Amino acid sequence: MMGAMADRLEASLDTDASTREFGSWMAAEQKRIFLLCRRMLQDTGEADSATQDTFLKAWQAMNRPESKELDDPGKWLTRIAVNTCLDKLRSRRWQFWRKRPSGEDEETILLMTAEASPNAEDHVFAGQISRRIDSALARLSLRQRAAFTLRHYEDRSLAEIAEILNLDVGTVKVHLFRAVEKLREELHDLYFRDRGRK
Amino acid sequence: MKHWTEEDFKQWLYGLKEDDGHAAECADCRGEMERLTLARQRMVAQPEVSSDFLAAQRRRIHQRLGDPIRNWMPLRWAVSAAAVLVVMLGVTLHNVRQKPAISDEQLFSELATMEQTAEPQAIAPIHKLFEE
Repeated sequence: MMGAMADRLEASLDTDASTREFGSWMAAEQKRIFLLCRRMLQDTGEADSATQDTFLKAWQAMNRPESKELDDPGKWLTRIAVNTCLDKLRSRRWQFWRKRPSGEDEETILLMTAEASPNAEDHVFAGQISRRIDSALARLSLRQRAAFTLRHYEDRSLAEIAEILNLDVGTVKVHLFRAVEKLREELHDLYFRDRGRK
Repeated sequence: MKHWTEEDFKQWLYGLKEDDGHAAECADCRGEMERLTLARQRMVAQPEVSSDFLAAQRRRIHQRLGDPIRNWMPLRWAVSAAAVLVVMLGVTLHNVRQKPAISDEQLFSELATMEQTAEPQAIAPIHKLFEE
């Protein structure tokens, strides 16, 4: 009787400890995952939902009896997030009634960092060009969008992107090449518009 | 010496072109690479996310971790699809029963008529043999 109670207590303490550990890992990764989802989905509400789903899936996978020790939990989590976003993007094709959220809501959640740019003009320009790139991402196929987002915003190597998307490096190169081609104008303005000015 | 083009730099930035050693020899292109690397870092700097929003999101995740019913939500599409199929099947069966192609009474009556009247035409000459 006492033994069973002790086992239950021990199990509950283990659960509490693992929940706390998961909670602190989540707090460390949350912002990165949310921004990755937002960049992939271009919608703060959907990114919120995708972020929640990502951590829920991660928790469920970690608590399976057959779960293994992870070499790189961050990369593993990124893979879950990207797949969750791809699923949402695929199901979005059927949601013709969807409305884009208002820009004001998004701005209250995302506060652009002023320190990132050395002066006000650059700051405004950075905001404009990043909005242009965001809307241009809609022209890309799902795989191109995922590959470009992981390279451009997360600075992942091609090998890492290949692992995350479960593709070979050659295919990732093709997707990235096409993405860069489709975003030619935006990337020109991003990198070369002020060439010679500074 | 031939300098790298805008396309070369763009492809290099996205990992599609290797540095072929040109940068080591060409100060201009090396400078451009440094400028582009800095520009990229500056432009793609992560925006701040409201801490209230992140805290609320964490609370929702924790709620969902302890709420097994909500965790079945991804299956809602399967449940909806099954419900739609059941309704469609019901409607189809209802229509089949309400509007039969031919009623039983009509069928039996047609069969009886055929039995009484139908005689193959080939039998007619045999009948004539026995007519006087």
